Amino acid sequence: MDVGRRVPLRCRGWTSSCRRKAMSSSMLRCTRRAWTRVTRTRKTRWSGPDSWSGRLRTESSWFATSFSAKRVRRNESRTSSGAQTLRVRSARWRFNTMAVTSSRSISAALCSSKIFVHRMLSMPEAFPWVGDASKEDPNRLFHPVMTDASAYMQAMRRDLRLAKPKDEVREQCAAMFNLIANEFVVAHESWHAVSGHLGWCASNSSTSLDGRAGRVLRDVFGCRRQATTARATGARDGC
Amino acid sequence: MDADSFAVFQVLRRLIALIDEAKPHHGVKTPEQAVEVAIACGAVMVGAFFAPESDPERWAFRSHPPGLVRHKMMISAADRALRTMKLDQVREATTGDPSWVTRMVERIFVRLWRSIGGVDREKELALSLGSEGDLHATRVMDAWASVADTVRAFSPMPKYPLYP
Repeated sequence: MDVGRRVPLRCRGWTSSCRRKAMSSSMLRCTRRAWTRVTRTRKTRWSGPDSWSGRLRTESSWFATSFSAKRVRRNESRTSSGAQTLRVRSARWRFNTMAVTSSRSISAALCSSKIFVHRMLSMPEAFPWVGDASKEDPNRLFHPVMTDASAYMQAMRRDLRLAKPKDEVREQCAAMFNLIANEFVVAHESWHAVSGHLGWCASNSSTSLDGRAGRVLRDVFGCRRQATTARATGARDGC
Repeated sequence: MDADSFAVFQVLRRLIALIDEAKPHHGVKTPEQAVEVAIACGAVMVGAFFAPESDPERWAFRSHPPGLVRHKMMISAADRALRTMKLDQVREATTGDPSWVTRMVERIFVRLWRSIGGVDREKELALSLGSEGDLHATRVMDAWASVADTVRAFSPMPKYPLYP
């Protein structure tokens, strides 16, 4: 990203006479060629028009794993209008997020929470007290969440179904709920750091839980591991 | 206290604090709504919308319980959090009311689960929300009872906030 921005700026600076003399034309060609190669081969994400050149500025995107530069260029050539380009690129961002989501990592959960919160608030029966829920379409359909990002991407290409609440207040509220959902994950993992998974306990224990667990059934040990993650204490706490 | 319980407690406390500010885009105006939002946000984060869960025989071998079993555990966690925060009236109107719990399960965990995830996995829903899910939740609960003291001994915190 920095290379893509810095090189053309330097090229513009080289138009001054002293730098033009200092820089041979072959070096300039090489630099321009390198800049072109970087911007063409890099996985890109739209982030708004560049202020100085009017081009679409590109950003490196660590989650852009599903899209080759060829696909990106093909999409951009198909869509001429700005709004349509924005929609396609927004959808591409979601595809990329889904690609990461398939790994089911914490970072993926943080990325995907926005999608799910938007979908939730697009349903009129969810949180009907927020904004004007009657504006939402009760028959709105979303593509199934898949672990295969390419299959999801193909489905979205065939039929672009974006998840965005129609009511403005509900859309703003989605941002707030997204923060809350993210905080849920942070709190969850923070408590693992405090109390630890059972594996962490075993690795730090003089009386290894693994040793004790080896004497019991394997599925019981599985439940013990899960117990540190989620505990149902209804009967134990009398509620 | 487990990680999900703490997360529900933390999120619920944050949402109830938002009620005082009362801005429209916060989306929470009453404590009852805060409970619903906390559980729904938890539902968003447990990843139940992705890959189908395995058969119940293999549930115990996974690092986390099935997503819908965790949902039920979150309701239980919200109940404990409300008792800890001494919001008895809110508790009676929400987690202490069986009809509210049934309505919540129906609305959030069945209808929205299908709508948000775009999936219709009837068998999985029936297993997780039915007797198989209850049985597994009980086993996790029993397992917790057997390791709670050890886990607590390793906690750097001298006391749990919810269980002094």
